[in-house]
Amino acid sequence: MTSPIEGYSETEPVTALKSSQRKGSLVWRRLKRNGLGLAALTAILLLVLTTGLADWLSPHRYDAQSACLSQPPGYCQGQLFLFGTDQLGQDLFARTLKGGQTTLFIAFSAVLINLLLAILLGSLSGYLAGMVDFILQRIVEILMAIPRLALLMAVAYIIESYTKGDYWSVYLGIVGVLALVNWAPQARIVRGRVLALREEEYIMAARAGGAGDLHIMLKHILPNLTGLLIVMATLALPDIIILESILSFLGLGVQEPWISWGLLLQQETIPNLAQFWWYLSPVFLLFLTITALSFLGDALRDLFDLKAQA
Amino acid sequence: MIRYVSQRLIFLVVTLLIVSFLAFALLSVWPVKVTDQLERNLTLQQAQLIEEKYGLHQPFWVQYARWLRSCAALQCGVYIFIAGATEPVAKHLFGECLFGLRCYASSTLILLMVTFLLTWVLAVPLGIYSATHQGLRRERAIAFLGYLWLGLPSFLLAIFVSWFAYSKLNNITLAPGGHYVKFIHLMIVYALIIGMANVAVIMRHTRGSLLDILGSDYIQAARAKGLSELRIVYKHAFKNALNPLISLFGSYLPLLFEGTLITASIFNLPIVERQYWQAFSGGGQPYMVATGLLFFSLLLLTGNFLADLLLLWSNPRIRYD
Repeated sequence: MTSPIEGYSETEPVTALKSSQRKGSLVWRRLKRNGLGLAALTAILLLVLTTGLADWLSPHRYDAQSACLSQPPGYCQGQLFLFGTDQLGQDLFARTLKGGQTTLFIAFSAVLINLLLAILLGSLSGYLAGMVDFILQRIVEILMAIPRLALLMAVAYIIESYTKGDYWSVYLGIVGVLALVNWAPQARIVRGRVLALREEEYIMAARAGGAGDLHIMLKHILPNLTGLLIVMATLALPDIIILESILSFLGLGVQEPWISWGLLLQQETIPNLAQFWWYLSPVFLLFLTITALSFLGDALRDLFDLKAQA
Repeated sequence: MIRYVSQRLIFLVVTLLIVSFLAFALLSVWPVKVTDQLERNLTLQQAQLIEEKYGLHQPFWVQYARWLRSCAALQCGVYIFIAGATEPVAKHLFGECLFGLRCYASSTLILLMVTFLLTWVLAVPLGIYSATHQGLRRERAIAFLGYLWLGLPSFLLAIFVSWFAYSKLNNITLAPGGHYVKFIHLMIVYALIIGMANVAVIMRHTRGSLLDILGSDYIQAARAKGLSELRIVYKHAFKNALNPLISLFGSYLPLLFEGTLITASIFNLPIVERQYWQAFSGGGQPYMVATGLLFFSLLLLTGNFLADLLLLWSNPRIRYD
């Protein structure tokens, strides 16, 4: 076990870390010196910003059809199509941005729910131990015995038929499916961490001082999980993004009239892709997003000094 | 030892039973009935006949028991083609495995094994190289490329490679369809596509684990004795660095399955995974999905079991009692 002081450089004053806030600002200071991590963070922020502002940034609506069918990037009938158009004459720039918006929105919400589940079940399991732990761990084991994507496809197929076809129910369906299928390994990590923390002296001190379980969990254990959770979220995001894209690609995720990166790729057959290279733009954007997120995740893991845990 | 192995085996069987129950429970909320008249283009008579024959109107538990029994007889329920022809699910999902070449199950196994071997054969030497040449520019380049690969899951790689082969290499289609010889010829390409993302992960683990060992005292002692570096790395350090890698097998298998599933769907490979996917796109065949889930789970659990055995064999210090 390395002491928290070892990793710090000479130039920074080493003070006792009292609150998680101070640790947060320390991580930020160190991140600023990690070139790759900072570049990744910038890329992600840019992606979130551009896709988030999709409706304002693109000159065409994502579902508006024009007379320019399958045009390469450039001007067509006096209108600018940055990424060209598809067979229906829809602007691919608008569709790509809008698709990214859906993909990222779904991924962020799924990871959020995912983490909440992992925290809740993982810390319950680790803290209460005994019967609760036993049952939860058996559930986790069984969930991990079924290959994730295969199960995801089956559940998505069921959920899809029960949604009414309006945006929010489709969205909630996919988010739910992604979050539900993915929490098991993460809950296990949280559990391991909580188990270790439970034996720390300051927890015993708190208990000796008469603190209740809930108080200890919220005030003493949870703040110590922050770093782990941030890293877990960053590393879970690329995973979820790819899963969502695969689902949409296979026709089990986002459906028309909505659009996501996976769905954009599904709409093109391979000969089509070969003829119209600009249809590949979602592949590159997905690649960029995922790479940036895993770079950032790795940088954060180093900064939070979590090598051994996550 | 024997006790541990039998315990693991019992665990495997019990887990499989629970998974089979869960998979079958999915069918009770399945949106498309086995004999859905619209979806499968059946007449009312045909639908009733099939329902009668396979007991589809019976309560859940009876149906579940029937399905388990038919799985034991290598049938696993019924697959219904459009317009009423039927076939055992096992035959549709696994192919004709007893007689004839068109066996999806064996192609799946072969593809998984080839990918597995290729991944480790590529990753471990690269990991050893980057551990023994730490800090060199070439090593840093390998590490960076490894980082980039991490972000390239088989899903994107498959689309990119098929685009590249088709548009840049004389319209080569990488999809073999039902063509077995072509599938076997191109096996190495699929294996690379499936395994590439994992090569980077395994490489980094190999590197880390070997570096840990190389820093330990007994390696210093070996160096002091004047052993050659080659002997130290391969005979003394590598053996011990292997243990953490073997325990990586377990967490690596699900990734392997995911890659295979998506690659099979994109390239239309003649393996079980494609049949599984077509159960969805072809009108949601419930028995196919349940059986597929059970089969994949069996593969995963067996893989984990073998990894445990390997770990036990490779590291005598581990004792399970």
